[in-house]
Amino acid sequence: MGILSASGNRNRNIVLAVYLLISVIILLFSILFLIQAIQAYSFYQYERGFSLLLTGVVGLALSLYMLSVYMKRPGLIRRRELRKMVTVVECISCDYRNKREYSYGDYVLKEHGECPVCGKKVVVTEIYPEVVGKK
Amino acid sequence: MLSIQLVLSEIGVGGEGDNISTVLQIVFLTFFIVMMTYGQKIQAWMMLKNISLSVERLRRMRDEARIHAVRYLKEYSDRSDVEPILDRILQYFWIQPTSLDPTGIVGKIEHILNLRDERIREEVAAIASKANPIQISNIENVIEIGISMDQIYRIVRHFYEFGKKTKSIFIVYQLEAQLPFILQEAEALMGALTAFENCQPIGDGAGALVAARFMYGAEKHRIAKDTVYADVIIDGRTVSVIKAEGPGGNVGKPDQAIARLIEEYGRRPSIIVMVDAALKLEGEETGEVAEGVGAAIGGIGVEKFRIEEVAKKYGIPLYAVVIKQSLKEAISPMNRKIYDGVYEAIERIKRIIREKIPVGGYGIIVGVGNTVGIGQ
Repeated sequence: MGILSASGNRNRNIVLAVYLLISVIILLFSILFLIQAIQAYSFYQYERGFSLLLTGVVGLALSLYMLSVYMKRPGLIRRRELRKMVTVVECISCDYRNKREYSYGDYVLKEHGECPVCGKKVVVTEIYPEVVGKK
Repeated sequence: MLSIQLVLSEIGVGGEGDNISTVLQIVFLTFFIVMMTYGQKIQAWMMLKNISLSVERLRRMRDEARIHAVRYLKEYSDRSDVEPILDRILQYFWIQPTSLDPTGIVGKIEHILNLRDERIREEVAAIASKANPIQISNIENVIEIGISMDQIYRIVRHFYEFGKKTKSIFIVYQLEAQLPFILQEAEALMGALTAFENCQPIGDGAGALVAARFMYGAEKHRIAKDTVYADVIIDGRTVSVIKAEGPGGNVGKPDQAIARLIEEYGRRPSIIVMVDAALKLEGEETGEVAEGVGAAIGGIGVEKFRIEEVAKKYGIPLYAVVIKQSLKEAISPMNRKIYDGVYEAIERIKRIIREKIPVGGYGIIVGVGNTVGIGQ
């Protein structure tokens, strides 16, 4: 369910590659037109320069839009924050506090053995996600 | 560079007798005519393309939620027909009672909702025979997420297909305007899945955590379905603290607990303080604490109505303390900022108790919210 087949993935990759290629070709041509436009203007060929400039700008806008769509495509793997759950345990009597990795079965206000400092009860006071990096 | 110029001249760009101006004029004229005639349809088509991506995303989320529910259920079941039963449960619905004659509608809604909850719980208990009551509560919550995801997907798909069929820009506009909120809610629900599976506290449990910290160490009594209370002394005042029974994913029946304390046990509180998580507005800080008056409790309104009724009947002031968070944070594992909000809320409640209850007097604190991952 919800998982594309291998052939479906291959077709999708081909379509994406062709799309990217077209975008890059349009981008290159647009840059070329713009360079030509600058040259034309430098030789006072205003009419020619305007045509090239207009074509270049339209092409540049189109190619950048196509590339932005490509970058935002669904299924793209982006760097995400890597989080891990941590559990904080505290002594009910002294200032003892310890943060450790969450283990299954922990819950807030669960009694968690004896305090290594004063020997009184230690309870879980907080369970929360902590950012440990990016992936 | 020269060869490129030659190529451009060949195709009539910028050369003698510049063809491109003529071509551009024709293109613009065609574009103008096309946009005049088919503008709305093109716009609708483009919007539908965007919506289709969101619909696909919602479908994947729905499938993922189902996979989670199946896996979680199978962990506690020895039956082989878990999937067909789950698929049946995922499509459960409830029909809101008629409001043509609104008298007594709250009782009717409560009755229907209780029936729905009981039915789901019975089904879950029948399938997950190896689960204890805490795990059954958590399975119920995972299934509730599956039901919500299924409904969200079906409703969005309905309007998408309808918009596609009619090509009506107005239907498509409405759907596109709503989609960011719908996707935010769907993502938040997906974040809650792992929290319920692992029995970790979620942001919505902030109110329950406040109550849990007040009642820690005191003797607890069950007072209503999935609901406990404990009497504690705070600065010389006796306070009954009510919360849903944890650490399973319960919200309890705080309205019934309050009514029972007052009407059956004959207690007369000077005040009732309700503490709950509240949705923050964009720009507000997570964990911000605010005070007010009234019944701080969400949901469809049945419990709110009951609490307001009791408070009005006995003339008891209702005070509210809320801990702000986004919708996503409310159903995701509780973050550090919300814990800070919880500690501040505790201090605020102590201050309210000192100010509003005389020494030797009596009051009630109600911690509202899902108590998954929070004991007492």
